[in-house]
Amino acid sequence: MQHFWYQIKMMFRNPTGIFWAVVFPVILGGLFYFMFGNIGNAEQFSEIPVGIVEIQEDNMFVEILMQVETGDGISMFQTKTYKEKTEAEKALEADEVQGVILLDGGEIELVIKESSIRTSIIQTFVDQYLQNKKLIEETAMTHPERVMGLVENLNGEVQIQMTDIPLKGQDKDPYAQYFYALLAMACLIASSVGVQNGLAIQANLSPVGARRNVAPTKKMKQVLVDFAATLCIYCVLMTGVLAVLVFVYKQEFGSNVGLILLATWVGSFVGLAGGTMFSVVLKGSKSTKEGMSVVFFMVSSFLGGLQWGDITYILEKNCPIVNRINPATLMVNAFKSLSVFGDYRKYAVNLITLLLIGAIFLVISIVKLRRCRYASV
Amino acid sequence: MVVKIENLVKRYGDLVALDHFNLAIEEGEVFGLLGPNGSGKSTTINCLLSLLEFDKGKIEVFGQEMKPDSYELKKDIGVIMQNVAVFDELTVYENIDYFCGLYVKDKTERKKLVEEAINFVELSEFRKFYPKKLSGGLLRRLNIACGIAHKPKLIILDEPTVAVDPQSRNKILEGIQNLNANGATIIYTSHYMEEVEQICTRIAIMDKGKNIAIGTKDELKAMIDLGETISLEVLELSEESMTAIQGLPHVIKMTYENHLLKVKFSKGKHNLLRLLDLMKEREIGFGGVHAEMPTLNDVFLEITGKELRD
Repeated sequence: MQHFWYQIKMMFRNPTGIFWAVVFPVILGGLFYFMFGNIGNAEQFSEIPVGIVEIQEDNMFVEILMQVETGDGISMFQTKTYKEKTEAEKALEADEVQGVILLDGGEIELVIKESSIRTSIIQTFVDQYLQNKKLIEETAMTHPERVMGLVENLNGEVQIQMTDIPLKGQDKDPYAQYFYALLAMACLIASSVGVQNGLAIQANLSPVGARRNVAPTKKMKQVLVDFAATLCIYCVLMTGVLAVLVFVYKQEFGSNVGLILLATWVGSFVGLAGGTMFSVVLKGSKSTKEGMSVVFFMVSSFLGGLQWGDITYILEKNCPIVNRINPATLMVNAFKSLSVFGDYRKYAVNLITLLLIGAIFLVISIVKLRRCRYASV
Repeated sequence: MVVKIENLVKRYGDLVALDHFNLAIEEGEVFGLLGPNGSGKSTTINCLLSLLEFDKGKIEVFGQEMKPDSYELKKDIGVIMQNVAVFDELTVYENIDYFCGLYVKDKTERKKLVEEAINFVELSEFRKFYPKKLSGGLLRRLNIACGIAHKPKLIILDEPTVAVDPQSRNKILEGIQNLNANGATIIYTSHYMEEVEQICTRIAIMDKGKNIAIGTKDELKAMIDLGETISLEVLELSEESMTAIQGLPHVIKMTYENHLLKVKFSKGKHNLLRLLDLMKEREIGFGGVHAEMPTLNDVFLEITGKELRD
């Protein structure tokens, strides 16, 4: 316990660490607040204009398209019918519609000008429709008696699927995404403290590390005590950052504050473990390792949507694996799971993934450090 | 045997830092490792402590092989590194307590040991100071306290007096002798021959990763031809007189620069008398006379052909 308390004292006596962990995210949050505050209040979800070109009529598709609503009862799409494809394309070019759907018998083709959240919604709807249509056709061939029941089920599912689209349309504040990413970044800044922890246990990187290496206390124990102490501090700091975001910047993180807090603590765990691992695994000088921890939390936060909210959707479309393993995205998704969808299963999946990533980082660090002799000291 | 090193080889790429290095240190010794910078002293210590990987050789401490996980052995070793190894965020007391805590878990015992260590290095009045507020000498003393607070049986000091003022240096050297008097075996590395001569009971002289000579200071000095160096302040000295001085028995070398005559004699009796007789005979006026016995630098010079200070 003695080392645990000394580690905590050292953290509190190091104002630089606290600045990066608390002051920096709070300042950045303030900027977001003033930048997005008014815009957020003004912006409400509006119907997505979709152009329809019926080369061959498909009444069922058009009817379903017009029936889709958001959870708040607002129509999802506003349809405009065009006789000619070229006419619709002109409207698309002029931003009168977000996408053009070409209906040709059973074939459905979606034309968009550029990728965005709203075009993703159209694409999701089209995909869902085609999938369900195929399912009904196959069932009609094999078990015609089940078709009616299936259609009833699918009607319900279409609604569920559409209300479940994890996009801004469901969110009261379309800029909440940036605050989620900001909180994720604040957690991941812990990596810079993790690097310091790692440096202070390696004989070739710090005189203190050399002294700790010649002591009879096992290195694993020393690493874990340092880790636990800094994690405790970070949990307190993140609680403070969250409090500022909620009470000062009036951001909504859902009703379950306990689970949001837990997500920030798990995020800090990953940040700390990542920093420790960088300091142990990466070759190079002290400053290289410190620099890499900054790159880690900045890149992760960028991919999580801190600077550009659409990045996660683009990644989801082109390289979904990044969203599955990027700590900042996982944290943002965990926050969204609670505040936007109220989906505890998704929240749990994101948190478990984060815990696994953190545990892997920590195990790698310990394995590399224990019983280690250095090439030069 | 407290420490036994056999055929230790350590390479840094093409550079051989330790070249089949051997060493044996007995209990109760103050053993000095003397050598110029880069001779392999710190490398030896770091290998001994299992901090450095080495290419070949065997290291035993207290009769057991020393490995990174030799935790039982490590309990009895205290290390004072060349670089000051303390936390800037902790006070003097807290630093000593922190590092002592890596060895001693019992709180009451640790408190007593920390107090003793603070008194030993005379830092009582600085106990609440942060390291950045301490002078170089005081910082070195804190560094020592952190290494010895747990009362180890073997204490390794790697250049502990670098960049230290003379007063602190004397206190450190005195302290080391006290630790030895209290039963600790000491390994002391330095490139300051005066320090090594002053406190070490046995000395190994190192150069280019090799142990080039080992013994007590008298044994080391006995290994060389040089007996004594006599210096005289002489206002004027003719060529003829210089030739006469060089002709005296046991003279190895003679120099005359800036009115200072230096004559190095090999071991032999009455060297000073013979020189003074010659001066009187030739009516050469002279001032102060100074006789010096050989130093470890002379030993190093004679064995390697270069100065220890180089």
